[in-house]
Amino acid sequence: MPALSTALTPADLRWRCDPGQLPFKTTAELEPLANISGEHRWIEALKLGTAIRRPEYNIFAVGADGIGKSYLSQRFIEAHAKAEPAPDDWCYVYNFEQPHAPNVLRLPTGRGRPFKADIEQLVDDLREVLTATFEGEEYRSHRQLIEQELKDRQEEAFGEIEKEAQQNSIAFLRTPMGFSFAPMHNGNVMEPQVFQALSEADRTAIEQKIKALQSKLQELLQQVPLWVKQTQDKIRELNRETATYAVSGLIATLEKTYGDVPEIPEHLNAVKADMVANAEAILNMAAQMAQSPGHEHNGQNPLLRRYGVNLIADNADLTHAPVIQEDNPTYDRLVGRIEHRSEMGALMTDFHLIRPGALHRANQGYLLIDAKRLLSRPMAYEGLKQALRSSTIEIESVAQLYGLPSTITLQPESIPLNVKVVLLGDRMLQYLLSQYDPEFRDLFKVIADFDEDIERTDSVLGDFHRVIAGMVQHCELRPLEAQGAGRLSEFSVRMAADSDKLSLKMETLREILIEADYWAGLAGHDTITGDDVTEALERREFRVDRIRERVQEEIRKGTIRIDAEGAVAGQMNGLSVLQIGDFAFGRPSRITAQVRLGSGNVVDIEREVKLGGPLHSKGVMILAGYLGAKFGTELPLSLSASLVFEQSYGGVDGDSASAAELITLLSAIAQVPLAQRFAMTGSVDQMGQVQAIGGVNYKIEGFFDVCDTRGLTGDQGVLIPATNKRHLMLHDRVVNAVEAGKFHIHAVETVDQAIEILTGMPAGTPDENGVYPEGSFHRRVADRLKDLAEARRKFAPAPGQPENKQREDE
Amino acid sequence: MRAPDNRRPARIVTPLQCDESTWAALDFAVAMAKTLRAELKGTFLEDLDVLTAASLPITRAVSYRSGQVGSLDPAQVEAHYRALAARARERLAAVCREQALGWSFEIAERTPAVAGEGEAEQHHDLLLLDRRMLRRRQNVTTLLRLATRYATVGVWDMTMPQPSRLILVYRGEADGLEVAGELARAMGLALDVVIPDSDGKPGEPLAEPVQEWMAARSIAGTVHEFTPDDPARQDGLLRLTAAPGALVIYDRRDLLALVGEALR
Repeated sequence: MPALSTALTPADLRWRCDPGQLPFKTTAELEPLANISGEHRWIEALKLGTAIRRPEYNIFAVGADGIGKSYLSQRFIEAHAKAEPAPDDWCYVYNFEQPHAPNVLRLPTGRGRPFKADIEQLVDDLREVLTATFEGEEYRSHRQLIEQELKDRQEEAFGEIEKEAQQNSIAFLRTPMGFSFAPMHNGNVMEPQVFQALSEADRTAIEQKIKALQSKLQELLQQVPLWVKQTQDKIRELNRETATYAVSGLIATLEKTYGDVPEIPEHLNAVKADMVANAEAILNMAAQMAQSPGHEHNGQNPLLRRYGVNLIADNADLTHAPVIQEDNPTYDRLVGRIEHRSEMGALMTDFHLIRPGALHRANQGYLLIDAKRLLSRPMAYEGLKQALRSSTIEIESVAQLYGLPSTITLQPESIPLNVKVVLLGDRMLQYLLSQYDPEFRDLFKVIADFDEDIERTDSVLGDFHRVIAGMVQHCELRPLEAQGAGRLSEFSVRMAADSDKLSLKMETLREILIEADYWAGLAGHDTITGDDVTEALERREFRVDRIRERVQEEIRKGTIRIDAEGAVAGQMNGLSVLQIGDFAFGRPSRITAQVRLGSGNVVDIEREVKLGGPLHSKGVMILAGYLGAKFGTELPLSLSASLVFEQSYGGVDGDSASAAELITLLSAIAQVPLAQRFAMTGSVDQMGQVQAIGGVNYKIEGFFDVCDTRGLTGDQGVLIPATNKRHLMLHDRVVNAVEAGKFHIHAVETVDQAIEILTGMPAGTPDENGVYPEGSFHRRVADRLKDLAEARRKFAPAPGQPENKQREDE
Repeated sequence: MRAPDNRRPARIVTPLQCDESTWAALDFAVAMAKTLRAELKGTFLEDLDVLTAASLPITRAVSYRSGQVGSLDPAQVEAHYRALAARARERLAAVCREQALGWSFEIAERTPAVAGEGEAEQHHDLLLLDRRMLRRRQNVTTLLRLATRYATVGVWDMTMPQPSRLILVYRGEADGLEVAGELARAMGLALDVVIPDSDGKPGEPLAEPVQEWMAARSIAGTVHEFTPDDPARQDGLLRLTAAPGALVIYDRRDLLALVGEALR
């Protein structure tokens, strides 16, 4: 077949990266780079967002998935954060005045951990020191003295009564039921028979004496509770003094160590006062613990637990501002939560069970969150906004937020928040949030826009390879050879779907590198070669191309009818792209057209059955416009035409087949057969200009595979819009076939160019009277339309007759 | 002097009255029994004077807490004693079970008032008494009954946590020396042997054989010897036996003498 001017050469079909031209043998020689240098919008945005330390200047990093916006943002922010100081430590402590509202303490960086340890040591020491002090000789003798005073006082009082009783020969007895007085006889209690033998007067006298003694005793006993109380007061005072002495000694060291930290001296005073007040209880508890050594951990004891410290933000190991990425941004994991433990069936909590969230860890630093995940977690977005709005972290359960009845819980003091949040999401999400959430615009004032691709200059390509080197190093992979780097660059260009650009879908490139490293390992390579990258790419495609293979199989078996040879009027091969997940492939479809007498309507069957999308319908209407403008100015279009994608059972959208549909329709009108060895893609305007479409590589490869499977005839090929030339990045198998002259790709600018290729006829240019030359394609079209108009005129109603109401279109 | 033999107390006897000091005494007796690997015997004391008084038509009970006057009849007192005895027995059993000690229990009123010396010697019992018990006149009858049954008596202030001294008032009785020696070894205390009446048995010097006996058993301590006409005797005896933290081992006769002093 003679070469046409529209035919593309193999060099036009893909960009090739020549490994010999690359200034390295393996990426190990390259200095890794985080991102391709240059004037990027996102860098400008991140610089601004991190520099303005105001609560509303949070950042939304926007861009397609897999372009590394999370990685790049994190790297940028980490570099920025290194120049900022490490944040303070925060801890929750018991509020001795309002136990349900734990207090928060702020300590300079790194002092939270020793403070917690010191308090734990204090509590440990407290038991021992109190025990030692209260068991010490000094305390015991003091206490004994006080108790002895009471005993002496009682003994003295009872002794006087006993003495008086003795003087009256009455015994003073202690019985199980109380004191008692009994007459004596010969030094012993008088036997009943002796008593009975006494005269009435003697018995009465004894009885009177006993009654008098009883009265005195009663008076005395009324005094006893008062004495006991006085003694208890003295003991209490002694205990207080003793405990104060013991506790003060312990706390004095802490007061000295932490005296410079605001609020800590006040807290230590409260701790001291409480320890003194509860010294006896602590001693009792210590005694119980000593008896059950298995349960002697202070943390389990409610009395001692309250002196402890819940170090909620421990930044001792940080040397600069934190950069936290929260991958599971639930409400609890962001804002923190209050846990409960079951005690005898009831859910209890205390300040030790307050758990920090990502905001605590990122406070005075940066927090990166995936926006989609944030929005899919109940209340998480609301919780984050609330924290940013108020510049505080308030820990509340979701049930509390909803005002639902909850179990006993806490209201911890809020913590001042100074964080820069970076949300990561795609453009649609950013548009939706901007549109529907006014607060979003208020709180995320900086948009960091990440491009999906970048112009492929030599400088950019150099940076690209250094970024790849960084990935190899970060993922601890084998060094990538220059040939492999070249393959990867070519793949990046194909992803960009533009031979002048490099795709920045770094995540995909990283995956391919990891897989290529795997294949290199299997092959026993020390480096990742070009073949390893090719293997990774082919295997990757193989794993997901089941559907493509099935479609090809059905075409090969003829179940799906695609004619790749011969010529048929009103039929040609269109091309579409099927996207299944991340995998896309091209599929040829037969487009057919039928023409009959009618009133100028072009019926889009796909639209009629609601399988055609609006863009497809638009394409069909444009071609109807083309038809009307080109042939309907002199005579009415007296035809009805129908267009359909044969054997298409799913939806059809886009206008990329409109050029093919137009030519098919013209072929059906003119009854000029179209060469079936060609497939065509491209949209058309009303002037007959062929316009660029998407997925050109997949479409070409889709038809090529059909032809290749059946055996290339040497004259098969694809017509594409000339404006798609720069998007070509075809598989080697196609390029090789073109190089061998077995397959042809034509870049056409107009429908007429395509008609000439497909029909072998000149399209024809109208003369000054609008008449197309004899033997041209358009003349055949015009003649047929004229015939149809004549035929229609014959069926027109005579004047005064009603119009034929028959619906001709259907 | 009769040659001391190697007998050690097989039973520690502690009086039980169910008051606060009783439980402190019980704890001390348990510790002592464990140290000496002896059995523990609890003796619940019923006060005969109270029982007699309850039989009189004119006696009443004045409540310890409220001062209210109520009736006092023998059946009521008996019932109270039974309940208290049951409680004491229960407590004793629990403590001994916990410490894996052999134990026995008796109610003193129901045992013969005077047991033969043979029985006491046979059991090699050590009776432990709270020093405060000796000061109360009401206990005298009971103490007299107890003192007649046990050859060796340890007197101790139960308010103190641990004995810091061990003192034996020695009149030549082998039991007391043997028990005191065992206690000194087991408790790691030095033994002060007080001989209050060195010529109490003419021709039989006491101090020298005791020192030899202590040296032979590697028991550290001192022998304090007093003669009846020694002017420092009374003060010396008092200083030693009333020293704070001292566990004093008496012979039965000395205890009776102490009770007699209390009575006076």
